Amino acid sequence: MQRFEQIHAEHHDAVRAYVRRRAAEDVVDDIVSETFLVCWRKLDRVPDEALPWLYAVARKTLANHRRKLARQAPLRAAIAGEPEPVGDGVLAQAFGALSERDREVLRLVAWEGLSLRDASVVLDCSAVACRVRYHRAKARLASRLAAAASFRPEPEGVTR
Amino acid sequence: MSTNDVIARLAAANPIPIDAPLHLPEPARLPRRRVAVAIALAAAVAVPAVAFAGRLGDLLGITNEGATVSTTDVLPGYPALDQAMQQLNVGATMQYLGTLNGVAFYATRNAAGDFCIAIDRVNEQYDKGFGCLANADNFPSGAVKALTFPPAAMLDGVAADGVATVEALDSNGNVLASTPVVNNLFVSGDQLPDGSVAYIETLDANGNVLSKQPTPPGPPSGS
Repeated sequence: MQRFEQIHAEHHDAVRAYVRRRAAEDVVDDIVSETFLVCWRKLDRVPDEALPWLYAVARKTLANHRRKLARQAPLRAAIAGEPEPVGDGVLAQAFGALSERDREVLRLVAWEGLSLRDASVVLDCSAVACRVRYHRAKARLASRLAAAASFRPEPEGVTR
Repeated sequence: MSTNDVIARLAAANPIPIDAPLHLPEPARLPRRRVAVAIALAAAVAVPAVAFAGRLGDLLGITNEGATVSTTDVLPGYPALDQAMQQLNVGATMQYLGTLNGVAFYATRNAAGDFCIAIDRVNEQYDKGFGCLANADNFPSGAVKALTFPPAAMLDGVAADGVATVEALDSNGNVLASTPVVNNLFVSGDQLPDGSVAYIETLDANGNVLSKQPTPPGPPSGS
C-alpha cells in the first residue's frame, strides 16, 4: 500500500500530462484512473523505475479507449481529441502527416523527455529497435519540414 | 535544420510543457543514402510548382473541378485549421468537390503548387481537417493516384482520374478496406486498424492495379 501511494504521489502528474498530450480532456481522468488501477493490481510487477512502465500502461489503456470509441462512432476517433503541436502550424502539419508509430516515439522524447531506453519500455520493444525507430521518425519529420521550408516563405510569427 | 533541431522545435510546441530537460539522443547515424534521399526530396518539391505554372487552367489535375468557394467559408471556427491554411499559403478560394457519404471535400493548390484538401465530416464536431501534400511526387501523378485523409487512418480522400477503387493493404498485401471512387472522391467510413496500413492501392474499372503507394502519402492533417 505504501509503495502504491509513493508511486501515485511521484508520478500522477506526469502520467496525467502524458494522457493529456494524447487524448481529449474529457477522458483524461478516466484514463489516468484506469492506469493507476492497473498499477495497483499489478504492483508486484511494477519495476523500480516506474514511470516508463506507467506510460506503457497508459498507452495501452488509451488504445483500448480509442478502439471502444471507434466502435461507437467510427469517424470520430481518427482526429478528435489528439492534441497537436501548438504555436507552429507548419510543424503541426508535418507532425500530423507521420504515422502514429512515428509520432509516438517522437512525443516520448520531445514531450515526455524520456531517454530512448525508457521510451523502449513504453513502446515494448528493444532499445536498439527503439533507437532505429526514433532516428527514422526524426528523419521523416525533418524531411517534411525541409521540403516545406525550401519552398515556402517563412510566415511571420513562426518559431524555429 | 539538423534533426536534433527538429526535436527541439517539437519540444517547444509541447501542448503540455515539462520542466525536465530533454534527453536528446546521439545524432542519427543514418546511411549516406538516406540523407541523400532527404535532400533530394527537398529539392524535388519545386518541380510541381513549375509544372503548375503551365497549367493554371487545370488547377487540380482531376476531372472534378468542383465549384469555387471562399476559403473563409471552408471549416470556419477552427483556429488551428485557419492557421494551417495561412501558413501553407492557400489562396482566397478553394474548390468544393462535393459531399460523399457525409464527408464534404474541398481542394486547391497553394502558392507552391502543392495539392491541398480540406475535409468536413459535416455531422461531426471534430472530424475536420486540412493539409497539403508536400512530397516530391505531387498529386495526381503516376506514383500518387490517391490522397487519403487522415493518412493511413481512414480510407477517405481524393483519387486521380481513371481510379475506380481504392484499397488499404497491410504489409502482407491483405486488403483491409476497399471503397469505390465517385467523381474522384472516396469515403469508406471505416476506421482502419491503427498502424496496420502499409499501402494504398488504386485500381481501374477492370481491377488492374494503377498504383501502390506506401503510407503515407496523404496530406498532413491540420487538426
